[in-house]
Formats: sequence, structure tokens, C-alpha cells
Amino acid sequence: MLSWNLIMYPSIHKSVRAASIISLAVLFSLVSSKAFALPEDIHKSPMWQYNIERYLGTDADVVHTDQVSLKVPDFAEDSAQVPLTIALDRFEGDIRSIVSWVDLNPVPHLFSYQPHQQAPLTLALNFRVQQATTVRAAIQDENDVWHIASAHVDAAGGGCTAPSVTASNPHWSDQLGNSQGRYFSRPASNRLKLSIMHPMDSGMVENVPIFHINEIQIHAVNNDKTMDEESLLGEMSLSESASENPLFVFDFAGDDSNQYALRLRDTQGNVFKRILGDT
Amino acid sequence: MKQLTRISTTFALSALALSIAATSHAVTNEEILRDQQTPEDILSYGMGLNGQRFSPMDSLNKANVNQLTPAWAFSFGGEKQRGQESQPLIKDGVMYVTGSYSRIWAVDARTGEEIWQYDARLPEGIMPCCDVVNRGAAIYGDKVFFGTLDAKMVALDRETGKPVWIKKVADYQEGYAISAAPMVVDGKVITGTAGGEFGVVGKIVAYDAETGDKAWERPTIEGHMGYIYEDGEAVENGITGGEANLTWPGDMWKNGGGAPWLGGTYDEATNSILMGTGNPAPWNSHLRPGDNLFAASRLALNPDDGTIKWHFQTTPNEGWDFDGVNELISFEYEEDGETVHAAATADRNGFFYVLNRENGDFIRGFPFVDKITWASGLNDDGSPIFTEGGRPGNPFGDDAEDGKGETVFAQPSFLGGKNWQPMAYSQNTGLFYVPSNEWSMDIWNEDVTYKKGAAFLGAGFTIKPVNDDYVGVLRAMDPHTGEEVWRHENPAPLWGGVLTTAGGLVFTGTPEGYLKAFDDETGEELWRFNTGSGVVGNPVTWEMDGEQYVSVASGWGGAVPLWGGEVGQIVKDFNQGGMVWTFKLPSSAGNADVASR
Repeated sequence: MLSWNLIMYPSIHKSVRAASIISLAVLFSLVSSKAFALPEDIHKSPMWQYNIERYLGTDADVVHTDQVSLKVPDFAEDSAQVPLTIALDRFEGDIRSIVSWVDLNPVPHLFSYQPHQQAPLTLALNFRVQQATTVRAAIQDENDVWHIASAHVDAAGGGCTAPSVTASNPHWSDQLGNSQGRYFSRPASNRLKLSIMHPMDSGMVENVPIFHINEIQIHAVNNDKTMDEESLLGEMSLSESASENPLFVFDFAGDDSNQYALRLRDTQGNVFKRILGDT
Repeated sequence: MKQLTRISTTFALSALALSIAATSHAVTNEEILRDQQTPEDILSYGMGLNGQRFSPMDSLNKANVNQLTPAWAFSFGGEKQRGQESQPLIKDGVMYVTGSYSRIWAVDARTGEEIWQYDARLPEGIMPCCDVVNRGAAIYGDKVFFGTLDAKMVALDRETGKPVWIKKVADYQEGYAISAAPMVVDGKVITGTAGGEFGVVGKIVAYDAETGDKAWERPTIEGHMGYIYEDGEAVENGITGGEANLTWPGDMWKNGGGAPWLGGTYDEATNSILMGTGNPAPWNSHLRPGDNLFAASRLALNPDDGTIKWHFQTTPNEGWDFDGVNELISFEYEEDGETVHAAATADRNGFFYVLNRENGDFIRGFPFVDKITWASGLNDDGSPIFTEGGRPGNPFGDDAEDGKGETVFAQPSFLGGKNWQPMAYSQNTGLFYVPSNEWSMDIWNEDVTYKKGAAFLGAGFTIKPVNDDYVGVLRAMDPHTGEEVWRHENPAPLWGGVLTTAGGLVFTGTPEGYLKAFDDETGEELWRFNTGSGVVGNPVTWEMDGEQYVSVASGWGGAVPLWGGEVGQIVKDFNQGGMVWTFKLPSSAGNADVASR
């Protein structure tokens, strides 16, 4: 794309037409974004630049942020279940999207979150670590700047390739999709909490195919229970780094919403729906 | 923090989620109906919904088949190398092939390179009676469909292999499973179910191919209600057989088996699904005096609502595990100046039947195996003339000892004169090429009570070969005279499907590992290739870039190593595998006639 624009460059000098102005604008944005230097990684991860280019693009405008709190334990007691909390309530921009990854995991990508009606104030889930690693959350603002929060978690490791607890339970398929969820109305926000039985197989354990929840939709349904584009608060895609029997927490700003619906779908096409809140 | 109120247009949600532009076009019902006439694709199990497994292609023929050479091979990988009974499908230069443990691959048909793979995550408690096989997929629209061993139907996007919908067809914990290829008729995905060894009630279920919404469900055993679905609501659509207890005693029909585990064929002329049903449960027939409809039968169903138009029962009060599932192949012939719309099947019980497919009437029947002990012949209506003493003794009778009835010698064995492996019909020779087996068994009955998820047999048995040097016999049978035109004997039991072509060829595989080609008129073996593991899959042929290709899945397994008794000795050294092999003529050898067409 970039090289194509560069080749087009001489024609812009010849005629200043509307199309060329657009080309010029595209050109400048590409050239100028390329000019952004990647800030140094405070954690000195060997995967810093590689994963940014992989998940945010080679032209991403990246800054470190202290407006986002990314919490992980200093040491992962259980490498297969490491709690991650991302607090976004102090973020000052509009949130276009959120991408989170675990630098040194076999599949580093953990989730991508796309807000629709409203961005969450808090987002929490558990993830796996294969070895001690840096964890990232990148928040894209309205100017396409990625604000990166980072933390380091020490670990004994092996969380991505250890057989799941579920797999040793011969009756797991009976419990698949069983969930426990609650809605908490709090002074400044509404909290949604959902845990769901799912083996979340990473595909990295011998003879166990990949099988995990990979799509989540959050809807504000109130009382009509219709789940559509109108009601969609946000969508999340999950990757292999998410933990077995996941527990999700989402906080949204308190407003009229008193009922939420979560729709989860796994890589085999199973769909799980759960209504949370006043009924 | 500012609140976002805009509704953003959909953005690439995940860096990993690639959207792939559709390049292949949607498969229509008309294309599926014409499948046999379009060699450039294979859209259905049976290479045409009539199940003839006949290709009109002749560029590969008796004169040049000896030059047939591998083009590529593809490994199913993993440690899950069990029986590979699949039939590949071909569309738009892509092969869709299924494998053991409910796996499916899309493979570049030119190079053998994998495009995508989908592995069903099976629960530990699946209960396949006869190996973890899958026999193939179906294609319609932009989707590919296959059934899984935990009795689910999955619709995948053909381009990406991602699931579009998944539906639970039946409860695997009761013993249900799906191993057969589904079929698509007029936008409905239609599947049978397995599980007759566990006392399930067989059922045939149809889904809307686009949405996965259930369209209808038809139980195969007398007394059970069928349903059609309107706006997601089940609406009663008549009791199978009219009412309970016409041909079943007491409550036995409630766990009556009759599993349509091999799927079926479709006849456009009569708009009928032709599907067979398995053994009545339990195996001990003394527990269920009566004909036990519609077990061990062939059914003609209306594809729109699943109602049964007619039935033909091959073995009433079946007591030898002679399932009636074997494929019913539609074919036409002229008699007294009129076209007869016939259908033929080679039953587990050793008889070959020709039926009128408009009404299920029996036209003629004859043995296709060397010896049948349990019946001395067929009556004018096609019902068997039972041999006295041919049935295992009554465990509740005077002769019973220690709760066991008298042991009888029976031929064929319960694995059948012919098992699941489909025969082929040549429109050129008018012959059926039947992959059959010569074996016998000792069988006895004992008491049994139904328990959910447990084997429901009430019988013991052991299979024995009847000849020293062969079990398998590939036979060319004349459906008009019952004459065996030729035979080819094979040491191990034949367990793979047959393909025949207008090039005068008959292909089938052997457990010894060979894919073989025969002269369709003489049975002379013209070509063989060792695939490295037993061939129990269904060979197919298609045309691509002006050349004729042949493919077959290789990988020894299936019911024989599990249930084969003393025949197990013959096959015990055969190694497992999991490959699909693709062959063609060398580009310089004999394709001139293709180019000039």
C-alpha cells in the first residue's frame, strides 16, 4: 500500500484534483505514521516490536499510557489461571478497540474487544501463561493512537500445553456451557460477572483438538430481550490464551440498563446465551 | 472517560480473524441432482444421489489403467489412525474428505495441500459400536455438512472450515452416533442415526441447510410419533407404522433399534429418500416375537416431511444381526417394451433384492453368496422361507442350558454377506459389482434387559471363515438372472466400496492395502497399487484440467478387527493408517483423447 502511494507521488505534482488530494492525504497519513518511532519497552520484551506489528500493524502509532491500569499477579500461582484486570475508567479518549496479548505465549493474542454502544469501564478474565512474560493491553483512541499498558507476570509456566482439568472429567460434555452469572448495580457502574464451564482446549495438548469460546457479544436488552445491532454494547474475540472455565467481568457506566445478555460461541459453533440482571 | 454513543461499523474484530473472499460459487439442488452427469465435481455420497457409483468418464480405461500413477497423497495426521471409510467430495478444485474421530479436511485437489481442517471435540463417552469411522460429507450452497460420533450435525463454511451451525441430532449417552454421510435434498440436510446395539430407536432427521432449523424427524420403529417443525414448534406428523404393538409385543418397541446408520440414497423419479434400517433390538429375537417393523427394512420417505411411503422388510423378526441398512440403488431397465423403475440392494442376510421403487413391490431376489443357512429361499412377496433350526435357540425354551439357548451355525455371519461397503452399478454392463464376504458364525441367545447406554444384545457369537484361502469376494451380479458373471476372491474380508466407470473399469480396495482396478466384463485384475494401509474407503473418480483422477482414502479399521472373531487372525498384522491417495495417468500417456474431446 505504501509503495503504491509512493509510486503515485509524481502524478500529484502534475494536477491537483480532488482524487489526488485524497491520495495525498492517504500518502501523508501513511508517511507520517511511519515516522512515529516505537517507544522503548520498559519491560525489554524480545517480542515487543514483533507483536505490536502483528496485532496493531506496522504503521501503528504507539504510546505508553498510565491512564489504563493493567493488573496481574507478580507471580502466577496457577499458570493455567492467571487473573487479568484492565481498568479503563481513567482513559481520557474515545475507545475504538482494545487488543490484549501475552508476549511469550505460543499464541500470544488473548482477546480483541470492539465497543459498539459503549466501552466497558473494566474488563477482567483469566488467561494462561506458558512462561514468565509481559502482558499487554492496547487501547485505540479516536485518533488511531494505541495506548499501551503493560505488566510482567512471573510463572513456573506450562499453562498453555498442560491437559485441561475438564479433559480428565468423563462427564464434561454434560456440563458444557453451564454458567453462573450475576449482575451488580453499583453507584457508578453496572457489573456483569459470568463464569462458564468450557474446556477451552488450546489445541496444543496431544490428541485434543482446539475447542474454545472465541466470540462473545454483550447486549443491553432491558426487558425486550431482543439481541440485535441496536442492543449490542460490544464484541470480543478470544484466542487460545484464555483460561479454561473462564470467568468474565465487565463494568459498564450506570444508566438505564438493568438487564444484559451475553452470547458466547465456541470454535465448534456451540452457542451459549445468558441473561443477567433484573428479570 | 467519555462515553461512546456511535454505532461503529464492523471492524476487523480480531487480528486473527481473517475474512476470506468467496471465490467458489454456491452449490444448487439442481447441481446435486445432476451430479452423476458432471464428472468435474462429486457433490454427493454415491457419486450421484441414486448411489450408483458409476462415472460416465472413459478416458481412463482398460487399455491405459495399467499406467495409473499417484499424483499426490495427503496424511490425516495425528495419532488417530483408525478405519477410514470415507468417500471424498470434489468441488471447485477442492477435495472435502472426512476421517476417523469425526474429522474433516479441505484439500487442494491439484496439489494435495491442506486448506483447512476441522476436528470435532468428542466427549469421552461416545459409543460407536464398530470403530470411530466417518463415511463422508455433503455439500450445498456455501457449506459442507458432516455428522459426528457424538450424534451432532455440523455445517461448516466451505471456504474457511469455520462452523456455521451445529445441532444435536440425538443423545450420544443413549448410544446414538453418526458415522454415515448426510445427503442434501432440496435444501434439507438429511441424516440417519446409529446405535442399534444399544437399544436406541432409530430416527431420520432433516435440517434446513441454511439455518440448521430442524425440518422433520421420523422414528423408524412402529409406535413412535414423527414430527414436522413449524416455526421451531414440533407438530405431530403421524405414528410410524400407524400404532404400537402391531408387530412388536409389550414394551419392546420402546427400545426397538432399527437404526438407519448408513444413511441413504435419493430417487428423483419418485421423489423418495431410500434408506435402510438396522437390526431390531435386542439381537435375541425370542424376546420380541412378531415382524418387528420397520427394523431390517428398506424405507421410502417423502423428503419434504419424512412420512414413510412404503417399506420392504428383508428379514422379519430378524435374529442374526442382519441389518437392513445396505444401500438401495435406483436403476432402470426395459422389460416388455416398458421402463421398469427398479432399485436393488444386497442385504446382510445374503440375498440380493430387486424392488419396484415406485411402490416397494418385490420383483425378484436371489442369493449373492455361496451359501445361506437361515433361509432356503424367498417367497413370491420377497419374504424369506425360514429354515427350521436356523434361528438361534430360545434361551427360555426346553432345550436351554444355563440360560443359554441352543447354539446354531449360521451363514452368512452377522457381519453379513455384504456389510456397509457400497456396491456399484454400471450403466454400460447392467451389472452390480458387489463387495461381499464368505463367512459363518456360531450364535446363541440369552436373556437381556434394557439399560440406557449399555449393549442390548442378548446374544453371543463368534465369526469363522468358511474357506481356507479367502473371505472377500468381489462379484459381478446380473440383477435380472441372479447369475454371478465373475468373481474375484481376496484373502481378507472386503470392507471398501466399489466404483465403476464407462471406461470399463471396476475399482475397489482391500484390507491388504491395495486399490485395484478390474475389467468390468471379465473380472481380470488390470492394476493395483499398495497404499500402505488397508483400503476400506470408497474410491471416486472425477475430471480436472482435462484429466481423469481417481482418489481413495486408505486406513485399515472398521468392524472386522473389532468383531471379526477367528477372521481376526487373517487381519491381525494389518497396520493402521490415515491417508487419501490421488491417482491419474501420466500427462503424456493416453490423454490425447481427452484433449481432443
